[in-house]
Amino acid sequence: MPSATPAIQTDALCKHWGAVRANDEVTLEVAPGEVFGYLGPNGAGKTTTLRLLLDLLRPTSGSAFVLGEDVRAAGARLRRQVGYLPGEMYLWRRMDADATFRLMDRLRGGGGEHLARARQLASRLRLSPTSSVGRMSKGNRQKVGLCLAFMHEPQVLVLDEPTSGLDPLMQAEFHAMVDEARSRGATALVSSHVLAEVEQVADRVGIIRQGRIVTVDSVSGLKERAPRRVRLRLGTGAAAAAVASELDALDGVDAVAAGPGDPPGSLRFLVRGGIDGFVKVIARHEVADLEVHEADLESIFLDHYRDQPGGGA
Amino acid sequence: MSARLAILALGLRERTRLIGWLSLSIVLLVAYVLAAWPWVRDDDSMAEALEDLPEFLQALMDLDTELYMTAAGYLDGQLLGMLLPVVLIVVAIGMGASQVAGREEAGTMEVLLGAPVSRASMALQCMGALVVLLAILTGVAAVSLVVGNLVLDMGIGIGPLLAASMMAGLLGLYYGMLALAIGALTGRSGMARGLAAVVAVASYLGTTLSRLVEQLEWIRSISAYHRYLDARTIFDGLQAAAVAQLLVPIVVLAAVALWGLGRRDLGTP
Repeated sequence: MPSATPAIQTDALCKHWGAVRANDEVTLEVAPGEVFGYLGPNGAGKTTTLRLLLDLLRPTSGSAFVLGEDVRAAGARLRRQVGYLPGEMYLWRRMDADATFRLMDRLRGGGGEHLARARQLASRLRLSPTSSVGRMSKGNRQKVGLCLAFMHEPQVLVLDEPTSGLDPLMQAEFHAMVDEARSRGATALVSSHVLAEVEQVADRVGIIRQGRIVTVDSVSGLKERAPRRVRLRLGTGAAAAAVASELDALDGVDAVAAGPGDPPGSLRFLVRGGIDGFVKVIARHEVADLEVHEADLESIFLDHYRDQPGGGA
Repeated sequence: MSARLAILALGLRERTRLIGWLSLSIVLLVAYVLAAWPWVRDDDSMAEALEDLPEFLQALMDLDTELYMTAAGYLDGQLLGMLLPVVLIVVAIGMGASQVAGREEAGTMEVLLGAPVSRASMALQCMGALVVLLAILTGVAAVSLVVGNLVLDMGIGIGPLLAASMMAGLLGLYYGMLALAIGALTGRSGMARGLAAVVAVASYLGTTLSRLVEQLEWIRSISAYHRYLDARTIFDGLQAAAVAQLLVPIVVLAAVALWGLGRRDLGTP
């Protein structure tokens, strides 16, 4: 996205703890008004990048900028413009939600204005302001965290796994909150380990794996590249093994293991790009059954994760 | 309330009940010690009993029987020499360790520093909460002593009573600041509490044993406890040099805490 100054920018950002390279040359640019989905499996380094942006961690090398300012140099002043939701929402157990809002209103010098907005957000998220944090479920604590991140209408939102613990209805409400923030010009960096969670709100998506950015693309760009999942069952007359290896040899076609619920004799493939070649090959044989699932972002996401140790979904 | 002091206020509000109970305990402690004074004063056998104590024990207690039989000497021996400072030190170490490292371990530091609060402001407000807590408890002790002194007609000046309370508060602050600084350097409240407590106990034992063992006299030069006792504030009143001897290391520890919190990663596993 063309813009003079990115709202969020990291430049070859590295964070190493001994041999562990939590972030390795992470370079990202998020334009003003953009919602950026930051994806990766657990432990990939998403939280590290977010905490570097908040100046909670200090980079081994590289630099991070928010609204054009170095996060280390600008310090607390910059965080007036930032709404941050930590990956794990720890709050004061003896306070209720409203007392937490009042504390953060004071810390942000809101003079009651931020407090009023936090209360409105709480009501939208169906959170009782008088419920004690210590007795709250994870989902309700997450709602308090979202209220704190959005209460001052920040220019930049840094949200670590924001929908974690939220039911589908509240996830939809969260998406609406992000949409509203975007429409007033705010920028958001939203991390998740599940693509479907950010698919609806993100303009672009970056995938991080083992501390390195492996791809950055628009959601539509990713969709174009996403493989179709195909399940094929040949008639009894066809030599299944020979057909399978013929298909596997095609460009963009990979044979994958059959699913546990598949009928006997089923073959499965991932087909990237056009499906024409695939169809022409099977047309020469007797086909008993054929299912083609439309391009699915989760598979491209998993595609990037594949073959990495400990990097399950 | 100003945004600048919101974290200081939070540190105290989290302990409202504790402060109440501690204040009550200090009032009861002072009352308990003072209530025995008329018996000690009027009973000659007390002085004889003290004089009959083995010499090494008298040396260990730094006992001057004649002085002990005065109101100020009694107060020094029974309350100001150990009981009151120990209470204040224990409270201060707990508070100091909880303010930075405790918050970091509880995860709330990340929420606070997500707001426009600098690390320096965070450290200073944590120190502020420690100072205010000790000021409250020291104030309670001072008022209890002044009232007790009047009621029992002990004849000690208000000045020395206030000064002696303040010195006990400063001694507590020294160990509390030590715990806070260790917490700010490491982010570990257990280590902050443990190390500060070890230093406090070693300081006390070293000071006491150095009265018997000549080879241990060097401990006095590094022991805050010794500096506190050596000031003899209840007898000699407030002395600038004695205050400075406690205040300077407190300021140094505060600077270490500021530097420690400013330089490192926060809340890392």
